Amino acid sequence: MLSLSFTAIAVMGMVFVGVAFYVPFYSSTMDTVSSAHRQVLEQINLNLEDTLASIRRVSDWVYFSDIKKSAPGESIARDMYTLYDVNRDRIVSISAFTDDGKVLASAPLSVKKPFVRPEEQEWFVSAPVDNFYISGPHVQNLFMDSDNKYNWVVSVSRRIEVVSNGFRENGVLLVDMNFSGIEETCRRAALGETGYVYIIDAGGDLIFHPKQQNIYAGQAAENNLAAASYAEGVTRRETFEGQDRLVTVKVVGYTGWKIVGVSYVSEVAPYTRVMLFVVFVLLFGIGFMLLINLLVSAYIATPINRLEKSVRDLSHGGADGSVAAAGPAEVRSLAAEIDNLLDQRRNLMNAVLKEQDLKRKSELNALQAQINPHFLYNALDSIAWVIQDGEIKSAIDLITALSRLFRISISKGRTIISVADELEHARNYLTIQSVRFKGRFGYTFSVTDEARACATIKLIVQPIVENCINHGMEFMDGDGMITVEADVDGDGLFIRVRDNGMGMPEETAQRLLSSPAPANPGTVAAGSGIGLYNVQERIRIYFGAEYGLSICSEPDEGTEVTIRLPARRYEPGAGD
Amino acid sequence: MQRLLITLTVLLFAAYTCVFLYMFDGGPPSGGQVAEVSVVINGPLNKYWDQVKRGMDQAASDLGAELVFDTLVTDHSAAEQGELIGRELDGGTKAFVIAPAAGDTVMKRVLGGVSEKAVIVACGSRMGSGLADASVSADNRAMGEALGERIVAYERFRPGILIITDGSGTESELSRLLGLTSVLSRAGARYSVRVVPPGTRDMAGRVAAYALTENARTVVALNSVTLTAAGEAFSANPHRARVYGADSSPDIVSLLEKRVITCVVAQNAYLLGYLSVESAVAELRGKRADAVVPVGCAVITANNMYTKEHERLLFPFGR
Repeated sequence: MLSLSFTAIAVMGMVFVGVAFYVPFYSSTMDTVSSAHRQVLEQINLNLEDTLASIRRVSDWVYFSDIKKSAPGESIARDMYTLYDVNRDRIVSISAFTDDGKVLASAPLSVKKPFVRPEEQEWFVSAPVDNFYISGPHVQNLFMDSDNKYNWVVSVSRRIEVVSNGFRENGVLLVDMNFSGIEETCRRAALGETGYVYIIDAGGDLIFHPKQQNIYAGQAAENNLAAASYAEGVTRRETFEGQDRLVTVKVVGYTGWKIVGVSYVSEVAPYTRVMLFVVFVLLFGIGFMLLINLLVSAYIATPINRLEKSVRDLSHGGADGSVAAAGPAEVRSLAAEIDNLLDQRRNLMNAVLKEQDLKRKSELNALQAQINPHFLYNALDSIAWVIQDGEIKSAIDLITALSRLFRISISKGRTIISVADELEHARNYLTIQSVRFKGRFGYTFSVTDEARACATIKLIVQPIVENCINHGMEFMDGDGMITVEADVDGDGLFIRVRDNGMGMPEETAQRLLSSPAPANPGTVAAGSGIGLYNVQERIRIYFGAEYGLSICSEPDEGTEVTIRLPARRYEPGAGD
Repeated sequence: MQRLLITLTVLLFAAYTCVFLYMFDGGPPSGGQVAEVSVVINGPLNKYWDQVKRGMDQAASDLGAELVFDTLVTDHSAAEQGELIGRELDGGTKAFVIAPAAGDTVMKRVLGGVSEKAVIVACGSRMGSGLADASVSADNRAMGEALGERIVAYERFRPGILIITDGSGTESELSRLLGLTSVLSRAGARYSVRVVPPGTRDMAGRVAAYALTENARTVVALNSVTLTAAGEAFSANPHRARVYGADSSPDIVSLLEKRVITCVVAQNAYLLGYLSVESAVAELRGKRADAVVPVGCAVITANNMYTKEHERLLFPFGR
């Protein structure tokens, strides 16, 4: 992407510079070509005008010096022949006719063809009184020729007055200009290698074209009608039959004809060469820039890509080292900055983790601290009751149990203990409570060895058992039963405390786990509610939200509280 | 890998530069090599072939070709034509424009294996595809039919129609004859055919004699040579017979203008020459020319010969 962007910018710059050089060059070349065209057309025009002027002079001479001064006859014919002879490369014939088409005088041929009617021909009909009519090219067919020559001519005619036998009569003086002279002049004109010149009349009809026969036969085409509308002296660029051409038009005086010069853009040598050169330089430049840009962008982009990958790995926790630093100084500096930033982030994260750990422990300790006075209050209350009844042995058992219970509670300050110790702790509690409740309930323990060896946070079973006694056994009469079971299922350790007490509704059970508030405000003194929530929170803080308590209870049927913990083997000294 | 890439790039740039320098220096000559084309007509140069030659010269100039124009001493001599072609072939000519001196059977024998070694374009008369790569000609049968229809329209009730043929057996002569006679037969017109071989001395006298023998009031000639002879035979006495024919030349046009010849069916001789050379050059440069390149023709009388269209056909100007 980087190299493409560089290349695009470079190409744009090169194209801009190229265009900046090309436009004036193109303009200059076109000016040169146009100037060359104009010169060629001007030369042809001069030739044509010169020829036409000489024809007019011949016509004037014949009319004013001969016909007006003397009667038609041999002398005029002789003068005509002399003028013809002097201009034979330009003139085919000079003839004078009466209004009804009779030949008054003619040179070099004088015998009119029997079937020809000059008075019906266009040059005759259109001849003006005080000016000249100039026809388009046609075949001259007026006079008998022993060689059977048929010349293409351009007829220049005028109305004349003839004095014959003392009478004035009108007629027409005709000078036929040799069309092959025009043809040769146009053919000789050089416009590039294959450029050419053609002539059209004012309406765009062809007068001469080097491929006139092919055009008439439909074998070639010319853009002559369009050329008729082109402005004089301006070189126009046009596309005709798929070819890019330069066309210049010059109007011929007297006739209204237009000389059209055509050359091909591909043959304008400097233009073609410079175009070729510009294209070459442009393509070469683009290729060169592309190569350089690829190398430069690779030098810049590769370290950046590597840096990006390092940062991405770090952000996904895949790498814990420093980011890759290579390449240009800017990239290395950026890498160092990112490294610095990562160090700061790492330190910050450690601090946050430490802080959260401390906070978690602090919360745990607070909860722990919350449970001890509560339990102690219940235990001492039970012992007091037994002593008060004078049951010394029971008091001894009770105190022994309490002593063990506290030993396990203290656990040298550890939070994690074995399931065996935790259940022992619960058993001691039950011992104390069974004495207190004077045998209103019994209890059993069913623990697998695998479960016994697992680790648990301490003091999570006892609050549940306590709730069983306080809420489940309160109204039992010796048939109460608390069952404690522990086993391992998959990667989970399950400790179930079940009683056959009064049970509770579903919503009450859920409320016990979700809120520290007492389930029943009236029973706060008995310590219910706060224990289960306390246990739930401690388990979740320590092991995560997927662990904790679940309660299954039916009113008048009993309650089963299941503790779900991860099944981890207890390692003394580990876990805290 | 990077080294290879750099090497390849450098080589590419070098090749690119070489190509540019070659092109900048001018490249190959435009239009390829100069095409050399030998034109071998079927008789001596006459005014008809002069018109054809103008078209050929123009085509050669337009297409950058070089022409060698060979004529025969003896009119319609297939042997002489074969000899000339063989000589040109030995000289390295690769393309021929041939006006066949005879029919396909004779020309096949005369040309031998020339068509396998060089391009052959038949001009004015069509040749079989095995002999010529292309044939440039008007539809000769249609020319004969057009002539026949004109004669039927104006002459069917005049006694005696004499058809003069040169007996060369060329496709143009035979097709025109077939086209003409089929129309005449269909119309129930009576006609006779006489052969005036090419190169006959006093051809005009021979035609006049045949006309007298056959008591013909209408004479039809099927090519420029016999038509000119027929015209000359009656130029002194145009009312003796009406002359019709095919092809045109300045002499024929003059006779037409004098009303000696009543009507001609003419093909564009200039275009015939131009297209023949164009086809030969195209074949020589590896482009496939059409097997048959048609040339237009028109029925021309003294009354319409100076219309713009016919003027261009009868009086081609060019090189």
